[in-house]
Amino acid sequence: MFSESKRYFVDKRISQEMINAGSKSFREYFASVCFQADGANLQSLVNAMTVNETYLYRERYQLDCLVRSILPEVVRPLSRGDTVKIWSVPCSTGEEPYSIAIHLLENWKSVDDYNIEITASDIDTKVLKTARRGTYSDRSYQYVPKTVMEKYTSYIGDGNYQVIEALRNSVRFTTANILDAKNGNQNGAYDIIFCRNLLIYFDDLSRREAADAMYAGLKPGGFVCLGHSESMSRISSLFNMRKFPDAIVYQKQP
Amino acid sequence: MKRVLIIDDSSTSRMYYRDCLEAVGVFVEEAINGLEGLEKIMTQSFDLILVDLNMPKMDGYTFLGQLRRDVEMRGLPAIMISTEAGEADRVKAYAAGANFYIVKPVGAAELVAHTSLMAGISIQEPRVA
Amino acid sequence: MPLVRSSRPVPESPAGPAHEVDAAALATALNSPNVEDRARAVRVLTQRGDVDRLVAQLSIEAEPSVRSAILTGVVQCKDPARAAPLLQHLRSEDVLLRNAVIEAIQLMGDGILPTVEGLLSDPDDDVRLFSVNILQSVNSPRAPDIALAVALTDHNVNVCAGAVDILAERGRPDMIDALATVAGRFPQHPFLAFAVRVALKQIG
Repeated sequence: MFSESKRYFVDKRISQEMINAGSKSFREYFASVCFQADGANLQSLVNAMTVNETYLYRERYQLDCLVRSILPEVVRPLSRGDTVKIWSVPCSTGEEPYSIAIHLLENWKSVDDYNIEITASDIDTKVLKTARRGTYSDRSYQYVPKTVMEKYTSYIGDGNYQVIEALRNSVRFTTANILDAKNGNQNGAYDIIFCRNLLIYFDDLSRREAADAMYAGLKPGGFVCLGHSESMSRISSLFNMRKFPDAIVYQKQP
Repeated sequence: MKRVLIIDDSSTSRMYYRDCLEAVGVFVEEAINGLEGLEKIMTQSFDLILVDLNMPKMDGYTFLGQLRRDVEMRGLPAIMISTEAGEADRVKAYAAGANFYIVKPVGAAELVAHTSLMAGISIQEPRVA
Repeated sequence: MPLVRSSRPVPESPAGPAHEVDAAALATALNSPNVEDRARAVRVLTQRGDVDRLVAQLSIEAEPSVRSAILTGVVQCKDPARAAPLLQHLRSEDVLLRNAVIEAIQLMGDGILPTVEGLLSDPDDDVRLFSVNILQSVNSPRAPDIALAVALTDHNVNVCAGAVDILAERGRPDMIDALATVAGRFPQHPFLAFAVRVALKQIG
């Protein structure tokens, strides 16, 4: 899982976590991570091991998978003008839903043939406010090609670029969490759910609840995309694993 | 170097099989259930699978069923490992897609012999695990 | 632009509290041929904390996603005593059902310990083996002691090995002497000696 050079950092961080936790041995620490009722040591470990970078076009290979493999399957039974529903949750400050939108407009040949609804949700209203503004520093766009940036953003000063209004208006931002997915069927289920780097913060029961909720909130044949180092294999057997050239994703039984 | 994937939810079992197989120069990769096993097979190549029957999330029979249904993966040899010694269980395992069947607890010599045969390596004298 | 902003209502909690769903409608939904109807009915049962009915529904439910919703619901209700009848499925020939129950029980916390402990003296080797696997995940300070007793007395080598696995992670130094004797109980199975060596090493 970790290369040699990264292993040094892993060891160092775990050592620090053990000191913070007051553990007298690795075994004691390991047991606390597995069995603590409030999960405090687990949470701390996860925070120490994850790097919280927000930028657009993060995990680009999944956006490629979306366009090259997932969407062609999703639209196969559809007619021109039908709706494709995509959910980004948690959307945080909005980089992910805007990345999806931009990537579709730029790279999906059939983008004009269907109505694409992108919903983006988070439980934190502060980040949603930031997301609606769609303003990010130059650094956040480092993986977005310059020509694409010119097309979809405007420079507003102080090194900040704002996503153009038409795009900002086309993403619906809502206050919701992943567990609300299970009620989604009453309002129209999703074709694709992006739930990246959230479940790593959950305990086993919550992960299970999230998987059940996503399953319920997807259309038959709908897809789930998890984060780079995440897998359904330790969470739920409900989904079929689909290997595409760009990524492994999970599909609800068609 | 031959590559073997061990799929078993017991870490001690995985450790034991790894010791036995590394002793005869095999490269070993591990998975804790059938789902994780399938994911590893999708992204890495193997010469042989050792798969336990009773595992959470996806048991051995279901794993074999999915393996044999997949166009790319179906040719992989797989040895099922199970606590059940009866003929009916063996037959069931072969019907599910196992190439061979070993009863646990597994003896090191038996494991190495069958692995060598199915992964196509010459049988060496195993250094005792 | 083909991106359209939905004006549909946001997914939220279903309209009306759970007790507004009448008994007849619920019974109909639970027996519906439609998977989503059954799943929704299961969620109502969960909101009401109706563990008995959830447990009963599992016995007639074959669809994996609804089974999962039932079991998640039982765990969420946090009533181990009422959940105990689920363990009858440890005897089931239906591997998927059995595994689903085992996975869910492992999330129930140590309230399920008395029931699991009872099953550790079941005459069926498989039931004892599954119970040892469940014990692995039960967060109780008594779990290692129960595991040691199994390792010292069970007549099935695989059950003993499962118990030794628990001790590898959670055994205490005062158990070392007793644990060392376990390997000698089945001298024809070197795997057990290996497992005991690993456990002794990890206990330190």
